[in-house]
Amino acid sequence: MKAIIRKILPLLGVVALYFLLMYLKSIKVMNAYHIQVLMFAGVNIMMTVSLNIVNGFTGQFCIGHAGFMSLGAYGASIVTTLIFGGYHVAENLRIPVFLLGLLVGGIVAGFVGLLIGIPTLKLKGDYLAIVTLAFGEIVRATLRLIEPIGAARGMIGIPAYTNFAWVLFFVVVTLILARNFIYSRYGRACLAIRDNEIAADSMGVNTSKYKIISFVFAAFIAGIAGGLYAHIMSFVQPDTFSFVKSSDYLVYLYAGGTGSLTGSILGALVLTVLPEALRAFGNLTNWRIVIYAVILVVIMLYRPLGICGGKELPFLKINRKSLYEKNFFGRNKDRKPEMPELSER
Amino acid sequence: MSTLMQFLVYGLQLGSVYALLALGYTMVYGIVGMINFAHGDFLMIGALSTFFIAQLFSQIYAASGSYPALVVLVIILIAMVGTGFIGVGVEAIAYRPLRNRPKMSALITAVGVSMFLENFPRALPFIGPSPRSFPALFPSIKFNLSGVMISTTQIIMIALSLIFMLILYNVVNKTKIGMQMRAVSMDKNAAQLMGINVNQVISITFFIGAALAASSGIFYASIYPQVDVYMGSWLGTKSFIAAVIGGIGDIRGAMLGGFIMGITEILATSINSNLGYAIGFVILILILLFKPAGIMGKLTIDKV
Amino acid sequence: MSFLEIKNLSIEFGGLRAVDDFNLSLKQGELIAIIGPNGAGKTTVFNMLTGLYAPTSGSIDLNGESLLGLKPFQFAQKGIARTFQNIRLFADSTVIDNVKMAYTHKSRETFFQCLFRTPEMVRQERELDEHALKLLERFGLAGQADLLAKNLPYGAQRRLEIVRALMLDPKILLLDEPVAGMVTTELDDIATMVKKLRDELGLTIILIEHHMNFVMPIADRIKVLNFGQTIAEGEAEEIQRNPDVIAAYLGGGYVYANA
Repeated sequence: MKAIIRKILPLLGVVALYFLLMYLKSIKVMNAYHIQVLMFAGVNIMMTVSLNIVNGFTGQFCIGHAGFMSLGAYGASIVTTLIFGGYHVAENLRIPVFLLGLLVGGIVAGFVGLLIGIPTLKLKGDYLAIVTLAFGEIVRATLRLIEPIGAARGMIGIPAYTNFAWVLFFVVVTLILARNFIYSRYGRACLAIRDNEIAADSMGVNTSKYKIISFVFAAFIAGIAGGLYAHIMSFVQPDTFSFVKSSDYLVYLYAGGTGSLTGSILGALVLTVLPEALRAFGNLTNWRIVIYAVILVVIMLYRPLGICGGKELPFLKINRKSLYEKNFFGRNKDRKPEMPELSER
Repeated sequence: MSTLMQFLVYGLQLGSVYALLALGYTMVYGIVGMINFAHGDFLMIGALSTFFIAQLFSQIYAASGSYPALVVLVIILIAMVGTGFIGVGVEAIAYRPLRNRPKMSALITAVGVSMFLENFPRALPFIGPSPRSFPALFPSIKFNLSGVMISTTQIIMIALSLIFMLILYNVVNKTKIGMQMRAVSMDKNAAQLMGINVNQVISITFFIGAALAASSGIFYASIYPQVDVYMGSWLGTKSFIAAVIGGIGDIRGAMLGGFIMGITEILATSINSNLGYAIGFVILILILLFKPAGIMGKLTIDKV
Repeated sequence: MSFLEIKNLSIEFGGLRAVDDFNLSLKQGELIAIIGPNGAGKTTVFNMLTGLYAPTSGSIDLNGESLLGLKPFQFAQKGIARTFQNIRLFADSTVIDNVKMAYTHKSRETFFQCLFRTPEMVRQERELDEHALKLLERFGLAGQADLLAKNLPYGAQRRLEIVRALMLDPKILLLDEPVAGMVTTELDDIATMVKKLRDELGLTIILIEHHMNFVMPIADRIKVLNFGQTIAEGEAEEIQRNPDVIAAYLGGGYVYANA
């Protein structure tokens, strides 16, 4: 019973948060613009979590993550806008079409992740980084070439299906799935690769396979996030998803702390909302990225693990200790080790 | 045929810009073992500072609109030395404390430094984001060699960059500081034990790299006479790719990669401008698939 | 027929023969030691036996099946597990996760079971926890199950490497200098442990060491390498009397080995 309550409580918290925000909006404390900022923050959380799976939990180094986002954005928009004609679709079909679009966006991104991952994930560190950067730029240049989706001008008239509830829903689903992934054999294999690739290989972990799985999984999430983004903006353009956007996510991730979902949430949320909040004190857009840059360098110099540094909020991890404490130590408390205890030096 | 030759001239001039910039990437990688993502921004600093220095000098020396050769030389020298010192400063402040930390930290820091170097001048009111037109430092007399147009600017810049590369190659291979650089690149600790001042060698490497980047910025701005704060970002990316194609860590590889990038880019751009932008990335992926360490690079084996 | 059959194994690094013509034939349950001075090529043999290096020539057969050309993880899955001379734990993961990571390829959890944490997946995880904890308990590490591996003391880290290798349920265990960096009083403990591993778990063990007085009492047979060549092979007393071995260890080596 207690366990069920512990599971349900965070979800209830999210629902309560939703109603609180909607109430604040109805009494005009928050306006549509505030809600929109929060929606972008949600998309950014998904992107940062996705990047965290590759960079933080698997120890690879992707710096072209916006490429997957753009594939998702375009994939979803093509389904909702070009195939189903945007707002011309029957009212009751809009949600299914929207979800189908997001799914297609995620699959396209995941599939391209697979295509690019198989040959390139053998490359190590720096080389992988530069290939992912190249990948992002190739995607952008290719999108600029395709006339039916508006080429460099971008695609307009995308229905604004994404609302705050959808963003919240997908953020929660992403967090649950990411958490479950990490606390499973897949996540453990990824952590093993991150911690020591040679040892992982020698312990029977098929490193290429698990790297590709984590890459494709992350690309899928990024694709969904891209789809949501396109249906907030109702407009996508290839140049939106440049290296600048990829490096934004790097900042969110490393500022929040790699290897921690809590860190990704915090990093993305704070760094999305803060500049908007600071706008009230005058126009800081010019200084925003300068401040980001300084934050990033200072964090790397003085707190290389980020704000959260591998720490996790309780509901974002699966606490095995409580699981095996009663099962195992309850029974076997007094047994002595069979192997000789070694004197520690 | 003459159009092809014409493209080759353009390819060489662009290639020399890439090659000069790629040298900095490759030297830093070879010696410190990190990718200095901010290296492209040294190009921008070089070009932008040249713009301002030239503006300063123009009131005194270039009333007629063109600069005397000696003044041009002084302007270039000031810009190169100044950028060199900025490179040394960046290394000392941001990279040195991270030298013994995981590679990833240095890489992320470099991304941060790059963002700073681009956006700090952008946020300053007297620089800002808008592009400025670069002054004509070099004389521009055009020749027509049987259908191929070539200007003195092109000749000067290609010749100068070849001279710079030759000097660098000889410095690294024939001088005492070059020997120290090679020693540090092989083993920092052993080099230190042999009495080499590792910090000093790394500072000098950054100085040379940044100064060369500044010169490539001046050359680039002389042929495409426009400067803005973001110019270093994509030129840097491409030059870095050139260095990787050639085999990062290898000086000849950087030159080779630079010229390959320049020439293929010009050829591809003549077909479609987006293709011109993407071709370098495609070549990079193809080359890495077959030669994971680039054309001249040697693959290192992990020691178990 | 022998269990592990290694014939004429050689490897070259840029013209240098690091290991030349290495032969070894192992019966199930044997405990073999490979000794030799630093740089003799002992670890290189291990690296070939675990697929990290591809031999230039020669063959490795396990139960009559050739292992050549397999990747390291496939060697591990076939039942050859190892520890490392310079400890290679998953330093930023917990002790129990280190052990569970070696169970990856045996786990029957599917991707979708994992994503949705189905009851079946949770049950399997619980079994895995128990399994790992039992193994840790035998080596006196169960109490530290939730510590990060990097925070363990040195001796415990070495033991954890052995536990992790045992989690693979190996047929052959390769121990690369298990007493490196330990004080003499600990040698006996480790020796007892290695013997127990063989006697109680029926493991076949190959051990690398240059402490002669550590390997002498426990090894069934000893092979001596020097500059990549096998210079002697046989039981402990023969090896101790062998003039080539004494020569190879001369100039401090032999004295050090007896220290």
